[in-house]
Amino acid sequence: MQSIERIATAFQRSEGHLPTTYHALIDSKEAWSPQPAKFKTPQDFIYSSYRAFDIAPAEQRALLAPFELLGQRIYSPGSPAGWPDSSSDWDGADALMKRIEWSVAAGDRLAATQVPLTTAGQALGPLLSEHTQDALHRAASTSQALSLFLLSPEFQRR
Amino acid sequence: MNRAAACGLLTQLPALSFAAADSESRLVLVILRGALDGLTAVPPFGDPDYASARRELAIPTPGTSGGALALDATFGLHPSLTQLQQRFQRGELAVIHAAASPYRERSHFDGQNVLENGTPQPSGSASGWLNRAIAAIPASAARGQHDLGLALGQNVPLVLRGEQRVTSWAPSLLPEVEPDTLARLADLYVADPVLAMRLDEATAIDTLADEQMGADRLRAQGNPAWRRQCRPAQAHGEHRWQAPGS
Repeated sequence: MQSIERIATAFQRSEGHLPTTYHALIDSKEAWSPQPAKFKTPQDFIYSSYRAFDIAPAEQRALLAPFELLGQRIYSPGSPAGWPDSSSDWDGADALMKRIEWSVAAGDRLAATQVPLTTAGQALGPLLSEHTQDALHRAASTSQALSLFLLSPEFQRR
Repeated sequence: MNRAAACGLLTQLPALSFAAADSESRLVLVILRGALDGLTAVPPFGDPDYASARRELAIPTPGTSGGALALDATFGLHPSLTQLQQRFQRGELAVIHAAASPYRERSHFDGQNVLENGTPQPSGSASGWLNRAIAAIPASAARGQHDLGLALGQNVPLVLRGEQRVTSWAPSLLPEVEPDTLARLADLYVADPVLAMRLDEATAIDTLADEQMGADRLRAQGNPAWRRQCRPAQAHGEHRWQAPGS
């Protein structure tokens, strides 16, 4: 919120000079915080899952089902304003449960092709926490470890 | 209203009683986002101008073929609303006819925002009136107040969003998640208050729903009919549940 005020002030003081406004945005410390803060939208979550696993859907239309399941039917925001972009619009309890169910199904399907800690390390780099690494180590199976990786706090945020 | 489970976006689910409450009183709010023709749902057949103004759209008078179900000498119900007529006769139904919000512009979405935020402006409030109503329930009467609001759908609609904690639930189309995986997730979220809280709510609600509605009826695997019935339709990032044939 503080940075919103700073950027708004920069905009007003410069009488709408956009480069000055951009500087205020870039100078805000939140812009340099490496900590992911925002809950991914279903779209971000699905794309990043496919990228983390380095796979492409066998059939392009197969990609549509998870979007619908997770509550973001592709190209159908339901409002001219587009999809909402606040975390609170996406982090409902049931939305999390649907992600869990989808992640479990994805883990089951991909267990034979992935090494969970390698996949997680490549996808998250330094963001992968020790706590999550421990959970992946201790998982009951490869498929469960993959599900836990997808559902880890660091992978659920951006 | 000393207890309320506020259910948005519900058209076709059995009665639920999720909220932690002494009373069985519930407030259920159903938002028909496609809108409703009030003159067809509750035709004023006794109005002398009704038939001529509506012409082929007019519902015939009670007692004739395809005629309205009479409520009184002026108003009736569409002939397919027989159960609502029974409720009216038992004194359980009130119709507030021809009511509208002050919004007079042309955006369907802004109109819905007015309906849900409870102010005269589309952006008049970031919270919904139902969430604020929950806040007005005396703390003494609201044991476990965070359980009072429930959205049926994946996400919480504006009408129920706000400072009061509410939660959401929708039937699942995928196989049930093993308790072991849920326990490990709870451990994974131990340092993440938001995810921990959501997981807590989600598992509590799923357990209740399974107990109350029968897990086999919720899981599409065992019942393909359920999958067909609960076809999700997208609106604002939350789900509406379409009744079969709608």
